[in-house]
Amino acid sequence: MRRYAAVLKDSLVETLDRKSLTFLLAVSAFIILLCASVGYRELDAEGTLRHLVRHFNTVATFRGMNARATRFDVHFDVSDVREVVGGEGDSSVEYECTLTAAPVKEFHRCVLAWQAAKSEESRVEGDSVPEPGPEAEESFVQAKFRERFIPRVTVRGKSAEGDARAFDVRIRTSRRAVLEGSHEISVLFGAWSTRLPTSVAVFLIGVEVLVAEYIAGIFGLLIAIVFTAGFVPAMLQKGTLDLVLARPIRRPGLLLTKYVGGFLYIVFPAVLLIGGCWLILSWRADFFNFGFLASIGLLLATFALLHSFSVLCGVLFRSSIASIMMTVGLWGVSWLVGVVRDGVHAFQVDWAAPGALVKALDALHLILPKTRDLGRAAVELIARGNLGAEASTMMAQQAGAEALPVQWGSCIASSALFVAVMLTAACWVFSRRDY
Amino acid sequence: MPVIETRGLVKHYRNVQALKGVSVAVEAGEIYGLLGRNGAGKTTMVKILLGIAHRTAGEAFLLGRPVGDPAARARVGFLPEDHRFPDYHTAESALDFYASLSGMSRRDRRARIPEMIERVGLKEAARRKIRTYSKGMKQRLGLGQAMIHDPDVLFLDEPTDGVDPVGRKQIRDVLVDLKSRGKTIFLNSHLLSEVELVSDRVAILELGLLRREGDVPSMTTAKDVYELRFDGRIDPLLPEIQKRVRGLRRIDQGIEVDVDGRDALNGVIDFVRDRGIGLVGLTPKKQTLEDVFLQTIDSPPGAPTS
Repeated sequence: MRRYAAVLKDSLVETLDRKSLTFLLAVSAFIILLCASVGYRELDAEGTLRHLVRHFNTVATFRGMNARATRFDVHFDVSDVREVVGGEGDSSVEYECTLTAAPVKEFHRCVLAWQAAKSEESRVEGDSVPEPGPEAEESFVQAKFRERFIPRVTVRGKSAEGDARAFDVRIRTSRRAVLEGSHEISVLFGAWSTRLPTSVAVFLIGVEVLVAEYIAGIFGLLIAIVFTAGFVPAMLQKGTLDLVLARPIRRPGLLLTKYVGGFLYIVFPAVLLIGGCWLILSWRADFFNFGFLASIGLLLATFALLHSFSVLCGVLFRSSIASIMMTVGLWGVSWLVGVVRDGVHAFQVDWAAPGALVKALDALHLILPKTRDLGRAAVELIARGNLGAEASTMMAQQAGAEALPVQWGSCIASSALFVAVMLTAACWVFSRRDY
Repeated sequence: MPVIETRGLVKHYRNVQALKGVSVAVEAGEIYGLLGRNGAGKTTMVKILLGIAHRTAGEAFLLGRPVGDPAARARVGFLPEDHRFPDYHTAESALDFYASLSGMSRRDRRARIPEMIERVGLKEAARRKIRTYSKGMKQRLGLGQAMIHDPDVLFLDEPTDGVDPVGRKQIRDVLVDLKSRGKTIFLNSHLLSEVELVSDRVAILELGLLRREGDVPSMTTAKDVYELRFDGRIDPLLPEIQKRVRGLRRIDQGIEVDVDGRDALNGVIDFVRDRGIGLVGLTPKKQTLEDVFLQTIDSPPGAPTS
């Protein structure tokens, strides 16, 4: 045990000697500071709803992988906003209000376009616009609220008022922050501010996804791959390895400990970055999203996958450059396979993909590391932590268009199997080779 | 029981036969020098003994255990040729790392590391990064890491490579000291004069074959070649002496003769003394290890060597 602890300590000394860790820590500290600079100013419910319904005139249509947004010349507004249930400190709150849409003709065009997008039919053109019916109108309004992450809404049509269509709307928020939490946000300690189109919860999802999925999940991982790719080739250098192999240590144990040492390289910056941001954002927003904190695990799992392949490449080629190129290449290929696979399944609506292609993509997806799935799982975790199961499902659908859902069980199992296979192969080669 | 033993050791690297059935046995407390040209198989042999390379055929044992068994390496130190320390270490942290790999406890390491740093003369640079060290300093640190866990057997591959004459002398003194403490040393070196100075036995490896092995005094004593010194003029007698010997060479105050056995030597001495010239000195002719080495590798395999 003492020997393996010495290898781990050696990896730590090697890590501390490299400037990359300092760089990662500095970037993490900067991002935490940016998060700390975010401020919120609470808005009243009427102002929030008025701001929210302004965007109801846009209808998005999805054709396979293509999304298109069409804006209609219809004006939505709210009035008579009343809080009917809840109050200060309550976790749920209900509002009633009147929603109006004008002019009616353009509103009907908008509803029909929304219906067409839903049923994959062509949009209605020309002056003669059929009336969509009260049920369709109510469904449209309800759907528009859901698009804005307000799932529990009841809508009842009222009689027309002039050239406007009116609805009684009752909104029950899943959490106070969804509606009442709508705020004006400022960044850089008030240097720049804007009004949120939705709630603080949704804004936080955006920030948390940016940190976990893009800054840590792409930028951070890329740096970690580049700098840890040299650990094994450096150990395998002629003259360096002899000094270690002549000691009473088993080769598989040595390599696995080196793998763990490389893995630990990212643990500290990941915990600092995500943990720090989580703490600061939670403190500022007064809401602790443990889903965001848990995304550290998925980030580390993604690195564990890629690092195992990097270690195998290091043993095979004894070159940092080859390890980096092949690991980044594998990461890119597995991402591409995931995107194409989702695309092919989405295209099945219009075009039946050859069975062989679907099978080949499924097989590749099974074999390759599930880096993309782990990333999507992290987004789901963050969304679920902020908005609850219902809202996160909506968000996942919106974000991933027609992407296949993440299968958590198979994703984790196949990732673990991938790491096991890579490390077994690396140990086998390392044990058999002459140095 | 030999501390190091190989029986018919064979190693193939793809199309190259690095070792072709080498058998050696090194006893405890010996300094054993392995000589050979570049590519003779010396380093391969050491690497097999230490489990760094795998043998193709034959047997090899270290401290009575089959090579490859990590436990056999617990009491072994190794200084590789062209060793390269991770440059992020200092001498202190490197010694701590290698001592830990050898299984030393923290308490033992704390006591042993300063002592070893002092011994290899790196006290002033102990906390400097290795990347700032000269080649000689790295070599001394290499020796330190090989000895840090007080091993019973030391494998030293070119230990004086890159070290200045003063440093070489220090390393020789260390080897002699280790020998006096009963340590076994397996020495690979190109510097034949150094090997000759410290080794008890040497072996000459050539193209994967063990060409010659023996103790240093017997190998460096030329068989039946003597230097004779007289107290009178010998020159007039040289034609007659020539008839009694295989080879004759005039040296200062005497002659060097290559004779066919002891009787022939006595015949030459008697012949000279019968002519009133007294013998004042008789010395068996010594060869350097370099002479022996060159003779051995120049002769075809299987040919007798003097």
